[in-house]
Order: sequence, then structure tokens, then C-alpha cells
Amino acid sequence: MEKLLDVRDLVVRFYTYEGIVKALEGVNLDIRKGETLGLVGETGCGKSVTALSILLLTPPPGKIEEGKVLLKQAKRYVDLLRQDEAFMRNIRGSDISMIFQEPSAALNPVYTVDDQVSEVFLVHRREELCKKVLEGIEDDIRKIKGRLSLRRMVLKWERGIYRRMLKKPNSFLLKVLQKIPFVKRYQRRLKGEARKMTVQILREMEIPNPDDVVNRYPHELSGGMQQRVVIAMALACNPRLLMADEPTTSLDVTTQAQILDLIRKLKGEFGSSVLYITHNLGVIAEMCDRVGVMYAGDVCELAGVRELFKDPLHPYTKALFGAIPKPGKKLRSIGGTVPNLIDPPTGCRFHPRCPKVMEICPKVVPKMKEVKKGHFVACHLYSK
Amino acid sequence: MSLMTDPISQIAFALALFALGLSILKLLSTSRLTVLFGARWTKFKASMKPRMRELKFSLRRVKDSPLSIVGICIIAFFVAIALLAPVLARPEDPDDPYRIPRDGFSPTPRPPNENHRFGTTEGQFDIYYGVIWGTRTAFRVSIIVVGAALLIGLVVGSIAGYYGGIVDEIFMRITDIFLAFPYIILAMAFVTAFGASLDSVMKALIIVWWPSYARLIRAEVLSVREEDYVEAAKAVGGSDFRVITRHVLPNSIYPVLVMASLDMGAVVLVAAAMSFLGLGAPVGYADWGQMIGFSRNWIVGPPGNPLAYWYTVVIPGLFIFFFVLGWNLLGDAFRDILDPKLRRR
Amino acid sequence: MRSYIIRRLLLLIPVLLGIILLIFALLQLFDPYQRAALYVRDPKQMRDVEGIIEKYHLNDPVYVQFYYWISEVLHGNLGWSKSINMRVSDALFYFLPATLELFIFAVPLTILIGMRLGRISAVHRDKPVDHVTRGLAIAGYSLPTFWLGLMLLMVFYGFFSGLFPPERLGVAADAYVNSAAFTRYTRINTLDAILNGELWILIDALRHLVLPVITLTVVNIAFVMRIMRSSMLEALGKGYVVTAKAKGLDEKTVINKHAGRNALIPVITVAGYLVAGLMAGAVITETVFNYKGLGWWSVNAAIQLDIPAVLGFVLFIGTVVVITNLVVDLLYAYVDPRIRLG
Repeated sequence: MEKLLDVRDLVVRFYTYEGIVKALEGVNLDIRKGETLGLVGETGCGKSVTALSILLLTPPPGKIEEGKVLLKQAKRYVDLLRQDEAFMRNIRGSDISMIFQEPSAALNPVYTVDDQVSEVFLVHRREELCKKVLEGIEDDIRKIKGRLSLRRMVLKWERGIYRRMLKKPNSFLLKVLQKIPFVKRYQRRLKGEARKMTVQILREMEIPNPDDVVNRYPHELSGGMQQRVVIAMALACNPRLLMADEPTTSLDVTTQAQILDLIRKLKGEFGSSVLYITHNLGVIAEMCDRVGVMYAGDVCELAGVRELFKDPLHPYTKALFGAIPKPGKKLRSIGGTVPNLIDPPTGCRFHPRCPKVMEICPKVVPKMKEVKKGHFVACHLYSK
Repeated sequence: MSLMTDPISQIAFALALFALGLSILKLLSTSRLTVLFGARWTKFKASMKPRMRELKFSLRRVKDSPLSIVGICIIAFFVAIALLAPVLARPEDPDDPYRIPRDGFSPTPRPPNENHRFGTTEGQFDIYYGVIWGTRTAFRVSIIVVGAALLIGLVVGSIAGYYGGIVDEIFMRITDIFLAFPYIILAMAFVTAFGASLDSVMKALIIVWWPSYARLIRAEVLSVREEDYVEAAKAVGGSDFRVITRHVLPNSIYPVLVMASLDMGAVVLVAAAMSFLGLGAPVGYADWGQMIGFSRNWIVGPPGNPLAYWYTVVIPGLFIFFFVLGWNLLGDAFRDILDPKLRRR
Repeated sequence: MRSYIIRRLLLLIPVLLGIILLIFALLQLFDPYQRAALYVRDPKQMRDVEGIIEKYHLNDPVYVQFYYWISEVLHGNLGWSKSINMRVSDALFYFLPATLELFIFAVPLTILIGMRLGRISAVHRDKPVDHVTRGLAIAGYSLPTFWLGLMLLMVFYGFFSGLFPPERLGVAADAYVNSAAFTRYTRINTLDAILNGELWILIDALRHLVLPVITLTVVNIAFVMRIMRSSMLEALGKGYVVTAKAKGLDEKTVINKHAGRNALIPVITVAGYLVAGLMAGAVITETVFNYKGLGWWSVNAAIQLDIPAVLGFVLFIGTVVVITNLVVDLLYAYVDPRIRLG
């Protein structure tokens, strides 16, 4: 299976008052077409930063220092890190989408659901919408009997506008007309078409009464509904990759199950790949095809989900599985604390807490090696 | 340094200083006994470490912000002038240094010359003397007003916020009423009742200014009251007073510091305006606002030289402007530095 | 929303009551002879001060006095203003249009410019633009209003020989406006000039307004700018901004549409304080420019110990501010859907 996205040696640093936080030091992972890659790790290990950096949305004071993020387009691979803003804006929301942990924070409280979801269509599906509008206008023109009616003139004018929009979307004239209070009503048709598409996608999200929901404000919806709206926004334009950053962590268990089911179903229908970020191993087991384990800014193990659960190789992964609470079993936590990323441990970042630490570990950073088929580990135990 | 003549103002000032000293001591102290040496000293140092680190961090942020450095320099400059006033401008009458010496009685101002460094204003009052001693007046007025308003507001606000209930409601309605009026307008009314003088202005301003501090403290106390460490302190058996002073107040102090620095300038602006309008310092008193009041008739000079009397307006005004600017810069810098949300970047 | 409105309106009553009590308390600071002027409708009545004291029980206990005083106030009798020889209630109506005219120009200017500066400052945080804008705003805020007014007069009236003069109208315009040829609809000069179709009056009025309006605006801009900046910064840090970016929206849309609308909400609440601040500024500005509005009247009265005028003015201001805050609260509830729809 070919790779859709290939992240190579991604290095991200944050320049703060207290020092330079070396958040990601050479992250390597790849996502294949149609698969769900899980990214698991403790809070602060760099999972969210990785996802945001793929979209070049690293929050300041962060900077992407090195690395490549190769996205497959047509027959070639394009390095996203070398592209300009305009290119990235095209990608965001339509080719690669992202959803976040708190749905109530992700939705703007002063705009309706319609406004926010339609926005995606208006930005990325303008052409399609224009064509639909033009069809509607032609229909309306045909329905009019008289030759000199005012309405006919208005419709012809609107037709002209939309034709122009189709040909030259960035025309200066359109920008000006947009601002004039009464004139800008022509946009209603466009918004109307976008709204239809919005209702459609909300229905696919299994939101009941989508015609009603579109007019509501985010705070009027429950957490589960809000998250469905967020997912609708993300999937509106059929992205090839959906990145989900702990989307169910803030929801209750029942809703969580519903949302996971939804994501699974949609993945099947839309055929997109999913990068699922979480710290919950149970969700990983349910949702993912392959899993990457991150620790302190490094991917330390990458394998198929069954393989990882059956035979974890990296000491950190083993410790993670050991730390899962089981009734009757003694709770084993991982000794030590998460390292300070301003002054991280030398060599392998896990070495201060590793039960199997060797002499070489503090000296050399271990590289990812394919120890078994499809099972990669970055640990000196396995590099012989 | 002779400060004030009115016994009420003297008491208010002394109280303000006393309260300030007490709160500083409380803030810094971590153990009741005076610590001298040995294991106690290391424990003291260890417990001070996080505070010192925060302090160092704050100082570094101060260094990084050029505006706050400018503010501090300006204020230091004025402090120096105030302290050195008797040297810089020797008073004619040591018992009444705030009376500006007059060189004649002619109404026309005279430009800067060798006898009068900044010239003289209407009635031949020496401008240089006026602005130098005016610095002292400015500090006096702002420290007394802000100090007293702070004290009263502190007491009222912490009681209202801490005890809540009907006490809170009553106090808050009272502050609501006061806050319905712009400061200067209400102060004008009080000064009319008290009779026009600098002391009346100070009293009026204290009455008008304390509600904003009460409001601020109350809001802080309310948010801090619900914090876990207050619960813990109460659970361990701390008395109300102890809980308030040791736990609630130190954490509420930051916005108050910000407001106090900004108010040091604001008070001077209002007091100067009152003196300018004729409701404050008497004629010939060393007060910046009063001096600008003199220049009202001399804004436009004789035809052909309309800016002839610029020095009567510009010089005292510049002093006010820079004084207030210094405190505003400082207060703004404090706000940015001490705001916990904006601190960590 | 309805419950919110009702609650807000109910809250109005105790505050208004409180203001009246405060004025009354202020009143008690004066002796009976001074207080007598508050109860008269024309100066002739002042000849019999003893009689007034008797009639309104000015020497009796507080609650008795309060009863008499409040009944006079509710009948619209606020006393006689000796400094301008008018009834206080008449004076309020007489001077209001002038001050209103100042506000009509100063309020929108302050808000618009302040908002623009605040937005620019927030978006370019910590860059030179930010520092310069904030520095200028703080400088404006540190200027004594009266000093700025005087300096502006010195330069634009003195140096540029009468380009922007003080007071409301030039001599010729003033004579014309008071003559029969000119109909005074609102007593707001600019408006009346337009309604009468007299361009030269309009220009003259505007010329006289330039300096006072500038003075008022400069000092209060920093206030609006600061609030806009901090609320904008807060909005920009919120989750929906990242989401908007992740949707592929361009920077301008994200800032203006998403963050901007949310940042406006705190600014509205500040508008109430702005009115109060402008009122305070107007008192000084009108005095400096000899602009005969409410502020000018109040200062004139204070100096001449015209107590009914001062107290009447204070009462008026308190009421105006309270009502403004109410309007602002209602506006705020309307704009924020979280409150509007409960």
C-alpha cells in the first residue's frame, strides 16, 4: 500500500522566555492510503505539535526547524514544509483536515452552525456552488413571462455576477461589491446552496433534525452534537487525511462510543485515512490499523495494532501496557517523571527511566529499525 | 521634609504608610520568628526560592520591556527632584516652602532670564521654583490619596468578599453608587462643600476613589476564596483574619498594584485639573495645575508674536505630562508582567 | 433574555435611589442658608430665606427634610442657579445641546479610531507597530486634558490666527443664529445649520468644534484601544481561531470575522465607561474653550458656590451614566448569542 503522507525527521522547537523547548527531535512516521494510524503517548510528548506542524499551524513561539512532510499529489510527492501560505490554505480543510479535543472551544460562539460549516464549502467548493447557483438562476429566468420585467433584469445581473465569479474568483469588482450593504444580497444564493450542502453533511453525521440544527448556535447543542458538527466541518470536502487530536477525551463514555462508531463508519464511506491521536490505549485497540508510540518528542515504536499489543518491544511501550489498571493486578506506574524538554536527557530520551538501560543509551540517539516485518523500534536493545 | 498642615491628612498618611509596611512584612515573611541562622535559615531560603525565582523572572521581564524601563527612569527622576527640592530651589520662608516667591506684582509674564530660569508667570511668580516644589506637592497628593483609598478599599473589599451575603450586598450597592459618577464631577461637588483648598481636594478624592479598590479587592477575594488552599488553611484551623491576610490577600495583590501605579498618575491629573479650575490649591501655591491656571489669560500673545508666553503653559504642563506618563508606563508594564495568563510565552 | 432585561431594569431602581441618597447626603454638608436656594423657583423668593427654611423644614431631622426635598425634585424643581440666572431644570435643558454636539462627534471618533488601533496592536503583538501604538496611546492618556486644550488653542488659534477658535460660534454666526431668520430646531448648531440650509453656519460651527473634539478624543482613545487590544488577544488565543485556520481560511478572515466579532463584546461593555470619561473630559474641555455647555456651567457654578447648580449637575450626570450602562448592558445581551438565547 502506498504512502499518503510521509513525515521525515521533523524537528520543531519553541522559543520561550525560559529557554528553547525541543519539542520534536526528528519525528518519523508515515500514513498509508485508507488506514487509521494511531499516535499514542503521554501528555506533552508532542503528538499535537506533530499534527499541527503537518498543516504548518505550529503555534508561536514554535518554529519548524528541519524535516520533510511529503504528501502525495497526483503522481508526485510534495514537501509541505516548503510550500507557501496559499498552497497550504488549499490543503487545509479540503485535502487534510483536523479536529480538536474540545468541541465547544473549536466552535465560534457568535456564529450559527450554518455559518461555520458553510464556510468550508464557500472556501473550497466555490466553483461547484457557483455552477449550482447559475442553474438555479437559469431556471428562474425561464419561469418569467414578461420581457421587460424588473425581476428579469435583476436575475440577468445576478447571472453576470456569478459567471464572473466562476471565471475570475478574485476579481476586484467582486470584492468591492461584497462590501456594499444592499448590493451584497446577491450572495444569498451562494449561501443558500452552501446551506443545502451543510444540511446534507449534517445528516450524514447522524445529527437529527439537521434543518433545525443549522440555525442553532454552538452553545445550544450538547457536547456530542458539537463534536459531530466539528467532524462535519472537517469531512465536508472529503479530505484524504483526517487528523483527530483526542476528539473524544472531553465527552462522556456513551457519547465517546457513538463518535468512534461514526468515525469508523465515515472512514469506510469516504475512504479517508485517519491520524488518531490519543493517550487511551483502549481506543487505539478499537480504531487503528497501525500505531505509533511517542515519547518526549520522538517516535519510539511503530507497528500494526495487533502486533504491538501482542509483542511490544520498546521498554516504554512495555511499561505503558503494564500501567493499564486491571482489577486484581497491582498498579505499576513508570518511575521518574516526564523529562524537561528545555534540557532533555542526552541520547535516548527515555534512558533515565528505562529498566533496561545500557551504557550506550545516554550517548547515542537510537534510530528506527525494522526489527520484525512492519514493526519498527528505536531502541539500542535491538540494534545489533 | 515638612509634609502637611492638616492633622487629618497627617493621620491618613501615617496610617497608609503603616499599612503598607505591614503588608510588605506579611508578604515577605514565611516564619513568625525572626530567622537568624542555622537550619532555620536554610529552610527560610528554601521556602523563599520560588518567590525569588518569580521575582527574578519578573525583573527580567521588566528589563525586556523598554517602556517599563523608561517609566522607571522618569519616576526616579521626579523622586530625585522632590527629594532635592530644598537644594534646587531654596525657599524664601523655610516654614512655608510651598509659597512661590514673587518678583514684583506686574501681571505680564516674563520669559526665561538669568534671575528666573524658566521665567515668571502672571503676577511674577517664579516658574522654576513652582515646578520644583510642585513635584513635592504632586507626590504628596498622589501618595496620600492612593494610599488612603487603597487602605479603605482593602478593608471594605476583603470583608465584603470574604464574608459575602448581606454584608457584601450592602457594600457593593454603595460602591455602585459612587462608581456611577466620573471622579472629577463628584469631587467637584465635595470640594464645593468643603471649601476650595488642596486639602479639600485630597479629602474629596479619597472619598471618590476608594470604591474602585474595594471592587477590585472584592473580585479577587471572591475568586481566591474558592481556591483549595484557602479551604486547606481553614481546615487546619486558621482564624479568619489569618486566612485573609496570609492566603487571600497576597494572591489578590497583583491587580491592586497595577491599579495603584496607574492611579498615582490619574490622581495628579484630577488634582491638577481642580487646581486649574480654581477649586484646589490657592493662588501662589506650588502646584502644577494652579500654575497652568495662571496662563489662561496668556495663551495668545501680542499680534506678531502669538507664542510669546509659551513658557507659562508649556513648562508646568510638561512636568505633569511626564509625571503621569511615568506612572502610566509603569502601571502598564506591571499589568503585562504580572498577568499570569500573559506571563508564560 | 427577557428575564435578563427584567432583572437589569429592576436593578436600576436601587441604584437610582442610591444616587438620590448620595446627593441628599452631599446636600447635608451645607448649612441651611446655602441649602435654601435649592427650593426656589425664582430669585425673588430668595429674599425671604428664613421663610424658606421654615417652609421646607431645613432645620428638622434628616428624614423630614428628605421628604420635602424629594417631593420638590419629583416636581422638577431643582432650585435656582444664581451663576447664570436660570432655574436649574431650565439650565439643564439649555446647556444640554451644546454638550451633546460635542459627544456626537467625539464618541464615534474615539470608538472607531480606538478599535482600529487596538486591532492592529493585537494582531502585530510585540512588533514595533504594537509598541509605537501603545506608546502613543499611553502618551495621549497621560496628557492633562486642560493642558492639551490650551496647547491646541495656542497653536491653532494663536499661531494660525484664528483657524480653529474657541467658544461655539463666531460673532457673526452667533448673531445670525439667534435672529429670526434662523430656526432653532435642536439647538445643536451643526444639525440646525443643515436643517436650515445655511452652509456657512455649518462650517463656522465645525471650525469651533475641531479643537474641543480633538482634545476629548485624544485623551480617551487609549482607553478604548487598550480594551480592544486585550479582548482581541484573548479571542485570538481561543480554539475556534485554530479551527478556522485549519479549515483553510485566510488570515484576514480569521482575524476580522472570527476573532473580531468576539472581541467586540467586551468593547461594548466599556462604552458605558467611555461616556462617563467623556463627561469628565467635557467639564474641563468646555471650560478651557469657553464652550458654553453643561460642563462649563458646572465649573462656573462650583467656583461661585452655586450649590443648586452643582448638585443638579451631579444628579443629572449620575442618572445619565446609569441609564447609559443599562443601554450598554442590553446591547451586550443582544450581541452575544449566549445571553440572547439563554
